[in-house]
Amino acid sequence: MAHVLWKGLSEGTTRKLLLMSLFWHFLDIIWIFIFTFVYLFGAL
Amino acid sequence: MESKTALQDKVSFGFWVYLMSDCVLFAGLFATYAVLYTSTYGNASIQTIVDLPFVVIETLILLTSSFTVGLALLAAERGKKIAHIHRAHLRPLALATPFFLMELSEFARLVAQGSGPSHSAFLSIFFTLLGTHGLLTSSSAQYGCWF
Repeated sequence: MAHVLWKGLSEGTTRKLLLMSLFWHFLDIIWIFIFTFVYLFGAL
Repeated sequence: MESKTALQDKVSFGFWVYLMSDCVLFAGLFATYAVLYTSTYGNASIQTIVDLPFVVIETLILLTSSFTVGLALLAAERGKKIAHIHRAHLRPLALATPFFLMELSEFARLVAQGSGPSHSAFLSIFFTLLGTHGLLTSSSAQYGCWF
């Protein structure tokens, strides 16, 4: 985010944002798996 | 001399390789969990330590944060003002903090009631699996703030 503030929105910074969001969604998917298999199956 | 797009393609490809290696890491952790989750050695099992409402709140925080990431990316693609995009991207990162704190408080609760990671194979893999996810979440949120 600091890069976007300093350098503005260029092809490079937009790509960085894209990769960042990709990783964020990936972590979210992992959490859904943890929630389902660890907590939900554990509680039932 | 490589062209700039070729270099960017390489970086994107490298990122995908990293993502898939993370996938393998978590697959290993999940497999270990599946093998060990009954090995409680007379200590707390998953039934006794799970606090479902607490975890549902954690899940909602993380899903909201993922949703705001999508919104921020849309803003960037539509060429909104920098300040707007900056604000939009700080929202998901700000949401990572309460998630991480909740995860830490859950760990603290377990350790306080004598169910620390050293008490059974199940607790070890439970802490490892959740800890790895929490560590990646918090560190990527910090990384996202600066880069």
